[in-house]
Amino acid sequence: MLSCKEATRLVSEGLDRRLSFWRRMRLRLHVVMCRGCARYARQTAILDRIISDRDGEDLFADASEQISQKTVRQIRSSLHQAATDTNHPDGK
Amino acid sequence: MSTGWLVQAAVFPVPTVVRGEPETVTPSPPAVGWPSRRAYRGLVSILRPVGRMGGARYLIFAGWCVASWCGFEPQGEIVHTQKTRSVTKSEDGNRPHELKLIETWVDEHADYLFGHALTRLRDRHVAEEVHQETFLAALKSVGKFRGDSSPRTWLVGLLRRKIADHYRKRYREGEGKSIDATDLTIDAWFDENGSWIVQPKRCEMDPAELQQRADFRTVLQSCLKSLPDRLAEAFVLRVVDDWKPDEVCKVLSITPTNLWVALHRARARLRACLEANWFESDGPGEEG
Repeated sequence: MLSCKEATRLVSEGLDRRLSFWRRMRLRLHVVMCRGCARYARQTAILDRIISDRDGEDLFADASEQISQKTVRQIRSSLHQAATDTNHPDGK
Repeated sequence: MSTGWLVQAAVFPVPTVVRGEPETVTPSPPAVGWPSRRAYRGLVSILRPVGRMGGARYLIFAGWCVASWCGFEPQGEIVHTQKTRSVTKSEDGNRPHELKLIETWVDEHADYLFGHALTRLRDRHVAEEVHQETFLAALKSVGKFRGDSSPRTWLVGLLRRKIADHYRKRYREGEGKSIDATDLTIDAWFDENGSWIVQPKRCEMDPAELQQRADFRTVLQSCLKSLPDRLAEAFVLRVVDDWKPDEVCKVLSITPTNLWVALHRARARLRACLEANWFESDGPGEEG
């Protein structure tokens, strides 16, 4: 008989790949009987869906962390540097 | 005589009828199997000069037919060069033009890309470095930008490649921390028989609604930040960026078994974190 601990592991693995027939059956049997694992399975599946289906928008793009102006200036200067380097590759 | 003509004109207004609807009066054209006689005539007028051509000219015509059938489209070429005109110019050393383009992109997308990089690299300095490399790479390969996707999508693609390079470099020598054999946080949820000590709470979540809520995003982001590095990296690459499992394994240099373990732990912790910070505080939680 599968324990809840193993069942949670199988639930997660089942989200990533197809489980073998016997493991799937054992998991299903456990989930039917165990209320906690049934909720766990539902919630992780929904969580995966929330995170993966988002029409190209990044749920995790951290808007709170803004890039500093200093870094932006640095990027600009290195861009200019790179542009002039490639423009005159042999130092003309 | 004159009155007879008048009566006839009144009863049979013949000339107007004939002039008004000549098509209905004339018999319909013989059925030749073509949509109409005009189409048939048109086709004949096109084919007649071909029939009059000599052998060589006929061969040229046949070749042209085959070429157009195979998808050789001179018009497509013209459109194509027009689209990338701004880019091909640079071959003559017209760099300032490109530089200006990249600089407007820096203004528009730098913040977004930085947030993207920071979530995945989890280190400000490293994120800044990779971020800068991305724009330099953009300057170098802007000639490959076709304009059929938005600049942001294109830049994110470049950034992802840079991030993958960074992971590879970091983990190639087994330098990074390996994934622990046991996870004490998760073990603490179960008793010695492996049953739940405290069962997960009941909660109805509506994915579409949660995706829109800014407060949910904040909680989700802070939960992701609380994950250990390796778990978060595996989870983000696999679930958020939707990479194939074997690609994730290669980039992070872990075995598939390790990947399943990492993903399981990441999901379990994220769920628990959401349960503690979202269901119970302001989410639509419900005692079950």
